[in-house]
Amino acid sequence: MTAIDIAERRARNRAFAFLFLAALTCAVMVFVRSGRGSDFAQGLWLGLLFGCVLNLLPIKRWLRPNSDVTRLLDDEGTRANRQLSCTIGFWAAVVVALAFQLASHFNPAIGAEEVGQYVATAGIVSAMIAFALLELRAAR
Amino acid sequence: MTERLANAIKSEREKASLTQAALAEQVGVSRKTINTVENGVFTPSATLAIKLAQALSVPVEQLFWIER
Repeated sequence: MTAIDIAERRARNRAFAFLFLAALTCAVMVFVRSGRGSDFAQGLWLGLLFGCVLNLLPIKRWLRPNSDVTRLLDDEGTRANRQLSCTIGFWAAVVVALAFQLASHFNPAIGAEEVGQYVATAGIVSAMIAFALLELRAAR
Repeated sequence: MTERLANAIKSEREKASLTQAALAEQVGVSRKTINTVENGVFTPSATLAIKLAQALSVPVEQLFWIER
């Protein structure tokens, strides 16, 4: 199996892992916001979000810059996809923040913690989903 | 007026009897990058465009051109 094949397989696995991680982060956030969430659930949400952020960064390339497979997993096509997905995540966070700003006029009881949780989740999860879909489309 | 970068990678690649994976290996990128460039989804950098032209043994302006 060549480095191209290994990179192809790993890129596909990474895309599916991103979708799973994004879905899990959303599910945990919904659980936390439903009022049933404990401190553990809050910590889990924060940990998942942190994990998502780390996954969006090309950490493997920084750690192993000379590996052929790592280089292929972060070639210029992937970098372009990462850049576009982070832009999408940024705009998703802006839209959610503006929606909360508008909603606060009707319900002034909305807390900063709630807003922060929704904005952060929307931004990171959108970026993760966008990256996964762009990668899967490219691999077709 | 809209402009797009068109390319003849697929036809030149087939002329050279290369698969996407083989071309990707020659230029040092993933197969999906070759796929997206071929389909016009991704505009490659000048470096990658030159590497592709060299790998396919054609002038870069024969491989890429601007379509209006």
